[in-house]
Amino acid sequence: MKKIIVVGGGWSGCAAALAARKAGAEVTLLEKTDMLLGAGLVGGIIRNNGRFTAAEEAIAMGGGDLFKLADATARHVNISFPGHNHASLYDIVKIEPAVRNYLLEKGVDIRCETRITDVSLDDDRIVAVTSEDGETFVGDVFVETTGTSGPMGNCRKYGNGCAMCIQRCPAFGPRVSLAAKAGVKEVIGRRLDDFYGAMSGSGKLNKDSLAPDIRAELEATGVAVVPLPPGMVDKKKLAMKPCQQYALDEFAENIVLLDTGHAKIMTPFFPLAKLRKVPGFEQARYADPYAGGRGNSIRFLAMSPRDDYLQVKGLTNLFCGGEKAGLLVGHTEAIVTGTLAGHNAVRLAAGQELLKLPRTTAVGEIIAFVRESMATEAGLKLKYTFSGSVFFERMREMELYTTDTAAIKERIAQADLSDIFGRPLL
Amino acid sequence: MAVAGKATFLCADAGTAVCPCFLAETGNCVQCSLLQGEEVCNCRWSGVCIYNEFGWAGEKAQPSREEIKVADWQKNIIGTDSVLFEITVLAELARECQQPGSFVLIKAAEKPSIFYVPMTVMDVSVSPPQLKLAVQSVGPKTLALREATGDLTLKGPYLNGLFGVRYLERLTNRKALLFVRGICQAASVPVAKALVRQGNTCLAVFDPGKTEKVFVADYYDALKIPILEGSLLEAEGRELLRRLLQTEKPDLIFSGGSNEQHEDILRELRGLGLRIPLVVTSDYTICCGEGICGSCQIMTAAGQKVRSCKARLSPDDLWA
Repeated sequence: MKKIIVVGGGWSGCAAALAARKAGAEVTLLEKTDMLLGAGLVGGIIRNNGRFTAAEEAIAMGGGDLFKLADATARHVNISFPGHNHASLYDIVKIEPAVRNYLLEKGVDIRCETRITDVSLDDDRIVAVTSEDGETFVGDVFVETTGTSGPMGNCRKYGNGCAMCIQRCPAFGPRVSLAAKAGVKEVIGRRLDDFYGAMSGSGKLNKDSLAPDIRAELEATGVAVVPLPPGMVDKKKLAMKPCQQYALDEFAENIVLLDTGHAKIMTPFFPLAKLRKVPGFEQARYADPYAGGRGNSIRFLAMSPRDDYLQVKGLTNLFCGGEKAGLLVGHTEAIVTGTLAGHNAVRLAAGQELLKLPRTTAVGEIIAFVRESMATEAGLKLKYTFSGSVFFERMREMELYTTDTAAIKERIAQADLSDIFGRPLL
Repeated sequence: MAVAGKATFLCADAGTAVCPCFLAETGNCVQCSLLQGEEVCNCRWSGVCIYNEFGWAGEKAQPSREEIKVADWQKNIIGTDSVLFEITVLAELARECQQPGSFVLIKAAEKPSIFYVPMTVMDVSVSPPQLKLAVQSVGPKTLALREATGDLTLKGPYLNGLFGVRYLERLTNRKALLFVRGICQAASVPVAKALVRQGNTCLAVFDPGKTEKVFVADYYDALKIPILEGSLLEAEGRELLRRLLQTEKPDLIFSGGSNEQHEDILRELRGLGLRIPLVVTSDYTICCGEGICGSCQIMTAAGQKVRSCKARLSPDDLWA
C-alpha cells in the first residue's frame, strides 16, 4: 500500500490525511502538540460569505466530511455580523474530539506530540522525516501543513513577543518548516506597511468575565457588537490583521464578539487595562492567547512556492495545504487546499495524473489566483479568503459566489468533479 | 540519503543561566537563526526562545561564568603523569556539574588566564560539595596545574564534553558497552553512573594507556559493572570489540578516548552494518569555552563550521 505522511495536524493536515485515506492510501498524521486542529482550536467561523460556496463545492466533490462535522457541532448557524452573512460558529471545545475520532474511525494513524525536525532526501525526493525524539517516518509522498504561525522568535521579531497562543511553542517546540529543511526557498508575506508577516486577527475572552447582558446576547444570537467609547477607536490596527475580511471600519469602531464557546474578539489584541474601561468589560480577561492584551501570533513567514496541484516546487514528492500554500486565511481555505493536497499525494504515489481544480469553481479559482497574486510585490501584501476582501469581490464579479446548493452541485457536476474526493484511487 | 540544508545544532548552553551569551551579541548564536541574521525563525530548541530572552535582556549577553577562587583542595598521585584533584566548591556549582560531559576550566590562581585548562568532572559529591578531577600532565597548562600549591581558580560548569549525549539521555533498561582509554576514565564515571541509574546493564573495556592503571575501578565495582582490559588501538582489542558486539548485542556504545579510537569503533560498526548509537568524549581543543576564541571550531562531515564547545553534535555529524 502507498504511504502518505502528513506533517502538521491543523485543519489542513486533517483534511489532507482524510482525503489521502479516502483515496486508498495508508496515512500517518504527525502533529507537534497534544491536540489536532491548530488554530482551529480557537477559530470557529465557517460558511460566512463565499466560504459557504466553497464548503458546498467541497461537499459536492466528496470532500466535505470536515464541514459536516463542524456543522454538527455548531453553536450558531446562519448568523450575520458586520460585513458577513450566513455564518456558522462551530464549538471550539467540541470540535477537536469530534475530528480526532472521525479520523481514527477512517483509519488515519495519528501521532501527536511528534515534532518533525529533520528531513532525509534522495536528490530532490523526500525519503523520510525524523521527529525530535529520533523516530523516523518513511513515506512515498509527503504533505506539509505545518502552517506559518510563530515560532516565538518570529513573534518577537515581527510582533509584540510571544502572546502565549494555542501553538504553545515553549511547551511543544517551535514550528519547523519541512520544505525549508529540504532546501526550498520559502516565500514571506508582507504587511501593508512593508513589514514582514501579519498578526493573527482575533482572540478569545473568557465569556464569564463579561457583563451578563453581553453574555446573554452572545448566547442568544451568537454576536454582540459593543460600540467603543469615543477616543478609543484605533483604525491603524486594521492594517495588522491577516483577516482583511474583518478589516472594516465597524471592527475598529466597535468591539465585535462572536460566540464560539469563548467570546471571540475580532481584533488582533486589545490592551486589557483599556478594554476594561469599556462598559460591560470591566472584569474582562483573555482565554486565548493568554497575553491577548499584549499581542498575538505572527504568521505568513514560511509559505512554499507551489503549483495549482499544490505540489511544492523544487521537490518531486511534497504537497502543501493551508497557509503553507499561500496567503490563505481561514479554516475553510485550509480544509479545501488540504483536501486537494492529500488527494494529489495519492495520485502521485499511484502514478496517476494529478488533479487541478478548474477556475469555474471557487476553490480552483482561489488556488490559481493566490499563486498568481503572490508573484507580485503588491500581491504579497494582501491576504486571500472566500469570506471577504479582494477574493470575495472577485468571486462576486466572476459570479462564483452563490448560496444555492443545487447550483453548486450542478457546477461541480459540469466540471466532472462530483464525488472526486470520495472515490478510492487505489 | 542526506540531511538537507544547513543543520541547526542544539546548543549545550541554551536555556541556561549563561544564555543568551556573547555569541548572541555578535550574530553567531549556535541555536537561533534570527540571531544569526536570517530573516525568519528556524530553530529546533523547544525551550524558552533565545531571541525573546535576548530582547528582554536589552540585547545584552548574560554575564559569563564567574571565576571562583578555591583554597580548600588536595591532590593525590594516580600514576607517573596523573594526579587526582579533590576540590571543595559551592554547593550550587557541585550540583550543576552532575550532568555527564560537564567540565570546568581550572588553573593555579597566580597564573594568568591563558593557563586555564578544561578538565572533565569525574565525580561530584554534593555534601560536602566537592569536585573530583583527574589531570594528566602533558603540556604547559596541565604541568603548571600539577605543580600548583596555593589557591586555584576555576570557572564552570561547561556542559559539552560529550558528543551523542542525547542517545545516553534516552537509553533506559537496555545494554551498553563502554570502551575507555587513558585519562578518559575520568569522563567515563558520570556516564557509567547515568547508565546504571537509568536501569541499563553495562560492560566496560579499559585500556589504561599512559595512566598505567584503571584508577576508576572502585567506581565500577560499586556500580557492579564488570571490567575487561584491552586496547582498541591494537588488533587484539578490535577483535574483542567484534566479539562483544556479537555476544552482548549492545544498544549503545560509549567511547572515551581519542578521535582515532572513536573512528575505529564507528568504522567497525559501519563495516558490520550496525547502527548502534555512539556516545564519545570530545577530543577537540577547548580554550575559552564560550565560543569566542575559535580554538574549538571544527568542520562537520557536511562541511559546516561549528563551535564544538557549544554545539551538541553526534558522532554522525562528525564522521560521514
